[in-house]
Amino acid sequence: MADPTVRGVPAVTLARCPPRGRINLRGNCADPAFRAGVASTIGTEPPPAANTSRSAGRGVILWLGPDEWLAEVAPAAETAFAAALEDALSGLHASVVAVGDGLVTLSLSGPRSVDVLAKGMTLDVDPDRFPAGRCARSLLAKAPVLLHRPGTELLYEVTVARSFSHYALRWLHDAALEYVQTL
Amino acid sequence: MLLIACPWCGQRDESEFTCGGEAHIQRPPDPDALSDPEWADYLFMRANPKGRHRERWCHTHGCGRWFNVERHTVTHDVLSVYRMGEAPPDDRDGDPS
Repeated sequence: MADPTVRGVPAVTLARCPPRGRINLRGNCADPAFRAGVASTIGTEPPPAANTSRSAGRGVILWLGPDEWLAEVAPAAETAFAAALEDALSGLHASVVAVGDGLVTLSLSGPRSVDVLAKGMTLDVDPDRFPAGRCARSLLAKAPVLLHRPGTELLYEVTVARSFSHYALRWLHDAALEYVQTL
Repeated sequence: MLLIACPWCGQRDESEFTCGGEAHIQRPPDPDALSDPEWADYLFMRANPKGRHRERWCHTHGCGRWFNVERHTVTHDVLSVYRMGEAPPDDRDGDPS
């Protein structure tokens, strides 16, 4: 029987995050007009460094590729943010697509969350190698996911396509079971 | 399992990538001028070397970018990785051996 807690803290906590507004953003980060347009809307420029995220008062922007980002905003504001971004980036070679309804974010936290992820990922998610503000698209148990560590606490956000969310949740639940079982 | 260093994301596992076959195959500028065997040669025939091979790979489950990988087909060593549009490292060194 495994100890369900590590020094009084639950070993693993798995939860489905409340719905989020998300906007897929594509454009040329070298173009100052693109950066300024995004900054005027979301409150921060898109992070140019690979596999990093930036948070601002109005949302978080995650790096997906050299010309692709995902902005996370309040769910009710998604449409308004998408419209504002389209306005701010009009005339530029850029794309703004609201994708919030298509994705689900699960959160995995606790001292053993690294062990749970390690069962199904080839990515090194050790807190030292995957520090706060790091994000990466990869595979979790064959499902394409976007992994993000928003803060310094040991909490990973796993964003998956809605059609994969049931599978991912079930898989994570099963993988976490040995650390939380209290038979 | 290969470890491939994506030019943007760094070293990642092979399962995140898709191989797109031989690299640096140029589409003939005027396909109509080609005979059927020449067109078939462009479409279907690929080098199958024992040794160094330049391939296109896509980081499908990462940044989604296409790039080139030079791989040894016997040892599976990834010899070099370079972006689309860049000259292969050997050509840059002026030593195409």
